[in-house]
Amino acid sequence: MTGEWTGPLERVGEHRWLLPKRYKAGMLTDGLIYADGKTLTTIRADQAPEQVANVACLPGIVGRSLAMPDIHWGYGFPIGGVAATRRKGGVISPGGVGYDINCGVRLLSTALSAKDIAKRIHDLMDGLFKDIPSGVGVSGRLKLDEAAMDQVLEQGARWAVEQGYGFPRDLDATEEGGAMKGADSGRVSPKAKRRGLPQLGTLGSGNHFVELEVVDEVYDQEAAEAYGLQVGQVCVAIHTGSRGLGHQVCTDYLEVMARASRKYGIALPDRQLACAPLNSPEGEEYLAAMAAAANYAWANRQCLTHWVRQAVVRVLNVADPDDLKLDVVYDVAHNIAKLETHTVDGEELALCVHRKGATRAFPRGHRELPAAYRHVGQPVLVPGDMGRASYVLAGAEGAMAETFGSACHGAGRLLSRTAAKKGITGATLRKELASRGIVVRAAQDSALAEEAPDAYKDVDDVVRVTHEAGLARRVARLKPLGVMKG
Amino acid sequence: MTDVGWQLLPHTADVRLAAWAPSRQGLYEALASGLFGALEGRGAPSPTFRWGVQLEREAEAELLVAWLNTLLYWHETSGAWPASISVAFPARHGLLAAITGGGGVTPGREVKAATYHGLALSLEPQWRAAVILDL
Repeated sequence: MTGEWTGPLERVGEHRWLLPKRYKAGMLTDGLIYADGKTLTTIRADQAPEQVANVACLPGIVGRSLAMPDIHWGYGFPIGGVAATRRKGGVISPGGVGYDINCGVRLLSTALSAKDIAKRIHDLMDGLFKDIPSGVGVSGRLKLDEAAMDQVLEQGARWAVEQGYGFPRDLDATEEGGAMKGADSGRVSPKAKRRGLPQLGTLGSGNHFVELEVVDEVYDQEAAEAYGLQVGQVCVAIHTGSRGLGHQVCTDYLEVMARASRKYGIALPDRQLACAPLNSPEGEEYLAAMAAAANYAWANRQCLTHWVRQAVVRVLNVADPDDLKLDVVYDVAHNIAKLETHTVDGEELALCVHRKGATRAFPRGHRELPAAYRHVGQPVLVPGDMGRASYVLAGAEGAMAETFGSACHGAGRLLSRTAAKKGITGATLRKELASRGIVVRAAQDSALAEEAPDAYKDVDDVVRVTHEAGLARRVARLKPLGVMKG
Repeated sequence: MTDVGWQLLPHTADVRLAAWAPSRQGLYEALASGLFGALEGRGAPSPTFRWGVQLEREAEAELLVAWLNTLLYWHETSGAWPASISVAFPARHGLLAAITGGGGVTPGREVKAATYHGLALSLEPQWRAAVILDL
C-alpha cells in the first residue's frame, strides 16, 4: 500500500478533481480534491487519494469527502482532509482529528520593522530559545496540580490569561475564544492528564516551531489593515498543539471507537477511521474529551505567547512593553472536529465538521468572527517551510459554499523524513539558511534536517490553488527571519 | 534478512515500522525494539528498575497497537529507556511483559502514537507486522 496512487480522478473545474463514488465499494459520496496540474502530480505520488475515498465511507457524511490543496498521506484521514457528518445519524471519528488535537497556529504582530531588529535577530532567537521550553522530552516551566489541570481542560486559554499569561484581548483573537464549549475534564483519562501535566507551556519537536517573520508582500490592503499587517513589519508565528495529553486522548478513544464500531455495526476500510454515532455515549464522550484537549492546546499557545512577549521585551530592553504592540492577530486550530451549522442544498444542517490538517476559513459577515474581522473574513494562517514563506489568507465565500468553511493548513509534506535527511544534513541546512539571512535555533541538527524546506511542497503553489479556487483570499506573504525548532 | 528483526520504512508524514520473528513473543519484542529505534535514543540505559505490563484486548491487532502505545506512555511519563523486554502470552489476546530499564538515554525524536492505519499482521510462514507510527 505504498507508491503512486493510480485510481480515477475526473477534472470538474480548473482546481477541482472528482474521485467518483463508484471507485470503491462502501463510498457513500464522491471525493473532491483541490489541485491544479502541478500539485496533482505530488498528490498522486502517495496514497492520500485512497484515504479521501476511505473517508467517503463514513456513515452520515454530508456533501463530499474533501481534500484541501495541501493534502498528503496521513493515517485514517489524509492530512488536509475535511468531512462533515450529520449530527443526527452521522458519526464522529478521532481519526478525523488526529493525535495532536488542536495542533494550530498563532500569529503575533509587532510594532517592529525588519530594520529595527536587523542587528538583534541572533539575540532575539537566543532569547526565545532560552525562554520557551522545546525539544523531545522537555518539561515545561509550569507546576500544575490535578485541580489546575482540570481548569486548563475546561477553560483553555482563559485559564492561562487568568494566571497572568497574556491579556483578555488575546482571547478575542482566538478561534472559539480559546475555549471550546462542551469540554469535560472528567472524560480525559488519568493517563492523558499525567502526560499533559509536565508539558503545558512547551513547544515540542517535529514540525512545531516559533518563527520570527517579516511581512514581505500585501495582496489585500483592506484585510491586511484589519489584521494589523503591513509590509516590512515583524511578526511571530507559533505552531504547536496539545502535546502528549492530546496524543493520549486520541489513543484512548480509538480503542473506545473500535469497540463502538463493532457495537453499532459500522464497517470501515481503515481501522484508524473507527467511529461512533455523534449521539451515542461514546461519541459524546469523545467530543467532550477532544474539546478538553483542544482547550489544553489553546492554553499551551497562550503560555508560549507570554514567553515570546517576555523574551522580546527583555532582549530589546524596552521600557514600556506596550510600545512593542505584540498583539495576537489570530489563533487557528487545524486538527479538530466542531459542531457547526451549514447550508447544504438550501437546507440548514447541524453538522460535525472534521478538519484534519485543515483550517476553518469563515468568510466576511460570519457571526462567529471577531467584530474587527467581520468585514474582511477570518484570518487563515498557513505556515510554509522554514526557508521560503508563510501566508495569511482571509476566509472566502467559496469555502462556505463548498468546503464547510475550510481551507488549507500549510504547505503539505512532500518527502518522508528519511528522504529529507538523505538530501541534506542539519549542519548544512543551518549554513544555507544563514546565507539567506535566516537564523536557526534547534535542539538537534537531525530533527532540523527532517524539516528542510525541500521536504515540503512549495507553499506558493498551495496558496495559489486555495486562492484561485475561492476558498480563501491571499492577504499577506511573510518570510522567515529566525526559526526555532524543538 | 535475519530470523528476527525490524526496519523503519519511509512514509510521507510519518514512519512505518516493520518487524518479524519466528514466534509471537519474538515479534512483540522486535516491535518494541523497533519502536525505541524510531525514538533515536543516544546513550545506554541503566537497568535500574523493573516494570510490568498486563494487557488484554479483543483482537490481536488491537493488542499489538496497545502494546506499542503502552510502551510510549511508559517512556514519556518515566523518561526511562528499556534495557531488556520479555513478553509472555497468558491468554489468546492477552500479554504480560517485564521491562527492565532506566535513565541514561536521550531520545532524538518524538513518536506520538502507534496507529491502526495500514496495520499488517501475518502469522505464516513467520510472525510479521507493520504499523505506522505518527511522528
